[in-house]
Amino acid sequence: MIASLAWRNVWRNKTRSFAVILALTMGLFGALLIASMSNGMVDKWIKNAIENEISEVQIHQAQYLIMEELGLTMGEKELASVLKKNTNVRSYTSRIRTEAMAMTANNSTQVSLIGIDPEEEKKVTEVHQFMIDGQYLETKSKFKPVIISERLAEKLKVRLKSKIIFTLADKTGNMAYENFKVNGIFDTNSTMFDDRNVFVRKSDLQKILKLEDGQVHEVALRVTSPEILESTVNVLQHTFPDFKIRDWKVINPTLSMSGSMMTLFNYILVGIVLIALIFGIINTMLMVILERTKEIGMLRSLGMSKRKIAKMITLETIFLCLVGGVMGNLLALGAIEYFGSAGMHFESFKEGMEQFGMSAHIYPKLDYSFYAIITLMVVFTAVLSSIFPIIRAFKLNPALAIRD
Amino acid sequence: MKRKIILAWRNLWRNKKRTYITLASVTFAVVIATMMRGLQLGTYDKMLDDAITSTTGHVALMDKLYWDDKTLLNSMEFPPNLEEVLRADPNLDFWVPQLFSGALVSSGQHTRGVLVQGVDPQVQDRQINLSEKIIEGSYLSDEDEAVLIGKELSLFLRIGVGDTIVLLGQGYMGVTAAAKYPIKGIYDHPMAEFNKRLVFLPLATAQYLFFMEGRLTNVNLVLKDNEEVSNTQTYYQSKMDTTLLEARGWRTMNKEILSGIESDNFFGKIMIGILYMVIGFGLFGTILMMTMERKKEFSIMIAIGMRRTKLLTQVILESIMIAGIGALAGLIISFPAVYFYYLNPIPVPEESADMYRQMNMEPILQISIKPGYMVLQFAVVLCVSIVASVIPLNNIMKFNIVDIIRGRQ
Amino acid sequence: MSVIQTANVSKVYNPDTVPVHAVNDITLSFEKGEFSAIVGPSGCGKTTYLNLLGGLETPTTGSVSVEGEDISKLTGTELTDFRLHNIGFVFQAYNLIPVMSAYENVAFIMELQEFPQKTVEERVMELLEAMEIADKAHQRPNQLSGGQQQRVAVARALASRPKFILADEPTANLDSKATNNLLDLMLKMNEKEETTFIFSTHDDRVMSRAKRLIKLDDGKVLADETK
Repeated sequence: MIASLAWRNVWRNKTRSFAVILALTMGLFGALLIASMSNGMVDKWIKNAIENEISEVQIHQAQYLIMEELGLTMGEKELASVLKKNTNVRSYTSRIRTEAMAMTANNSTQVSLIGIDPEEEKKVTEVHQFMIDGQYLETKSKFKPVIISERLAEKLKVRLKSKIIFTLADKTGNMAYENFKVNGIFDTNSTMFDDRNVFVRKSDLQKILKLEDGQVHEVALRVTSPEILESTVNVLQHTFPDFKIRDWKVINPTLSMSGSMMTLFNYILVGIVLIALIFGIINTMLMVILERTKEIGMLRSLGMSKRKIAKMITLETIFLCLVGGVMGNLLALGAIEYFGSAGMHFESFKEGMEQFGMSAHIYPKLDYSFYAIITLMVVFTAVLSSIFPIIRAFKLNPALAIRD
Repeated sequence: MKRKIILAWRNLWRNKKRTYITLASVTFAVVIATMMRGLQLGTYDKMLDDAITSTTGHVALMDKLYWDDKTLLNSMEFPPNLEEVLRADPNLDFWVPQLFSGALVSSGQHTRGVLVQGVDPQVQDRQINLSEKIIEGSYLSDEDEAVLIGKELSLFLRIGVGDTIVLLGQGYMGVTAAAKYPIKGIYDHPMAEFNKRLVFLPLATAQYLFFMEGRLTNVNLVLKDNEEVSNTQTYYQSKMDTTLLEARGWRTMNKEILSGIESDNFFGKIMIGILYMVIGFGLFGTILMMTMERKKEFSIMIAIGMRRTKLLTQVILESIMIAGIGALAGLIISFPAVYFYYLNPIPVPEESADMYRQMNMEPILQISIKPGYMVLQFAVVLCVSIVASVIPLNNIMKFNIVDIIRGRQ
Repeated sequence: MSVIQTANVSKVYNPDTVPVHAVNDITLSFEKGEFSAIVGPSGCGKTTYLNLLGGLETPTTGSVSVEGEDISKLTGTELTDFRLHNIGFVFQAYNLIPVMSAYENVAFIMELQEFPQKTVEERVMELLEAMEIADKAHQRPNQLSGGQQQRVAVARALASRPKFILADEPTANLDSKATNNLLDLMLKMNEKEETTFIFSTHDDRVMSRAKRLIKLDDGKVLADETK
């Protein structure tokens, strides 16, 4: 009864109610869209970093991480026998890496030279999906193949089939100069990654560095699902006490931190919008009380208790807010679902965003639980906003209210 | 006009509670917006300032081909008359001659690619204050045949002051450049890139190492006044052989930072936009109520001969006043906070400080104190209030005064 | 010469659905210095007729002319300006502007006509004194009694020496004493400044003092007597 009265009261002054509803709708729609965009952006950033760069888990000699000495290797076979049997491991690959100076007739720059097994690597990282020219590391040529990023190719002024000389120190500390031929060019959407990393075949690099057969610096692996990540790391760490097993959160704390910071930031954003809305809601409800002075006085003298009056006002505020809240949520849901698959393309910001490893193609994304929490926050806002008007309503003198 | 303002002021306070709440909403929005924008713009300024003072300078003189293709082949011969011109330039704070080149640095088994920077120790110090950041050993002097390296590089190479490193790179015209140098000092710079990948040595030593006698890669000019950039560019273009050399402004040298700023700024503006939109609806509600409850009064005024347009200006004045006072209060509240944090930048919490270092930013939150963006908040709020008055004003233009006076509406 | 006259003026509401002939073919003329009352039961059309005279409503047929100028042809803004310069209004519910003092309420109408400040000051004080309310000049309407408010309203209507004043039931909310006092003052101004007053009323006290009585019923003139 009171609920239906409250609901009908919402629609008595349509223009004014619509002002509040529209404010809620647009405010929440905007806030949710922005939240979903930053969410999608960070999600993709993390996903790219895991897929292209760091994988979910990396294994190194514990000492290698500190000293980065070329001799601090691990036996590939020993690792493989364990990893193959672990059902949580979706795929894995082993690598050899070193620092080198890439030189051409035109320029020179320092890079991370990574020796990979192309077939295994494809199962772990996605760099092969970003080839814009040439092949990955498959070649019939007698030259040692290398793939570099487009940015690096421009810097070194090389094209497909150009030669690059790498200057590097081998395991014993002797300098080596090695010729490689550009076999492919890639372009991921992380400037930092592209500027640093150069891929060659593991077998080639192994010979140059004078490493023994089957010795590697790094093993990267992907797990079957994020839930078992932690337990997998623990199991592996137990099996290989001499090695350091790290998941992506440990490898790049910035990534995981950004994820949780983004969530916090999104709640703050919605919070600010809701606080901004509170003022308008309070004002509207105060006006409502003022206008209905007579009516409320009448209801009081008919014997409606203060509690019921309070309930009526609170319900009216909640209904008013929920209409806007639900509309805002639905609009946002629609837009996010649409853009979530179609993507939003910010070509003009490409350069700037890729500098931070972000893609200029944003796929907005929001957990469904976020909508539910936001709706609860809207109800809470409504209850909070109704306090003032209720106090005002209680101050009215029922007798006076009716007389005039 | 004075009468109108007094009248608007009185009308504002006919419903005190409502006016206070509306003012509070505007004030809240302006405080939030000022702080948010201040932090954003301050961070941008700091990023650019850092980039300008510690790397590119406001203007850099270099070979025309050097910027797009940074090899020693595109280095420049220091024009004999240039030093005099530089000394005579009153706009110049100081100028930094540099020689940049990539090289491999190794010590024992450890090798890493680095950027070697040949510098004039005194002048360079004015640019990046490295001498104050020395944590071991001492700073360079002109004649030293020794290097300064960063903390992280020294840890990686496992070497300290007095140990020797080997530098190996490509010299001018493609000759191999290799030499051994002792470490004179180790510095700790807040930017990660400096600590990991930079090796400093005196200019003359670097020129000798890279077979670059009399040549430089670039000369960075740091100006006293940011506004003089384009004048300075034109001035140096006229003093140099422009078939070979160019004077490049900081904008083209920091394109990526600018573009990063642009994208971040875009999202920042949208967020503030949403906030102001919500406040706008609140203002709309208030103005609507303000006009609706005075319908009768307005009708009487029209009946006794006041033009509707005059009523409109009165109502606009009232909404601008409410928005203006709210915005002013917002600025008055936020300004001391902005000023305080401008003087005492908030350090980034240690957990996220690494993220800043990774992006070569000092881990502090710098807030901007430029009056421009604060005034802009004020202007935006006034515009919002005008937009929010459109529908209520339209109402005034349309209502039937006879019906209202007779109480039929 | 007549100040205002209506020729065969009619006002029909809801012409398409249920036509209501609020004013039905009235031809009347008012001379300068008149003190006339339009009387009749409520719903007889006297307020509508008054609104037609004041240019607040436009006639369905017929014409209203002030000093020979047909005002039914004027558009919205022209009509507003016309009212400002030619007509004074007094309403039943006083309708002073609540945020203005008595002085400001009167001065306001003159300022709209851009009279020089000095003229405004003199005229407003003169009128407030004439209406015996000068001592309350700086009080707001809510600090004044009904009679006092209505005297301010009359001063406002007189301020810019309009061609005539239309007063719609000006005494309906006043007690006898206030009514007589207001009528005394209006008659005084009628004689002193030769201002034309036209009332709509069903108040006997007003009728007894009016110099001309026009009786309306069903939108038509029943009688027109000059005392």
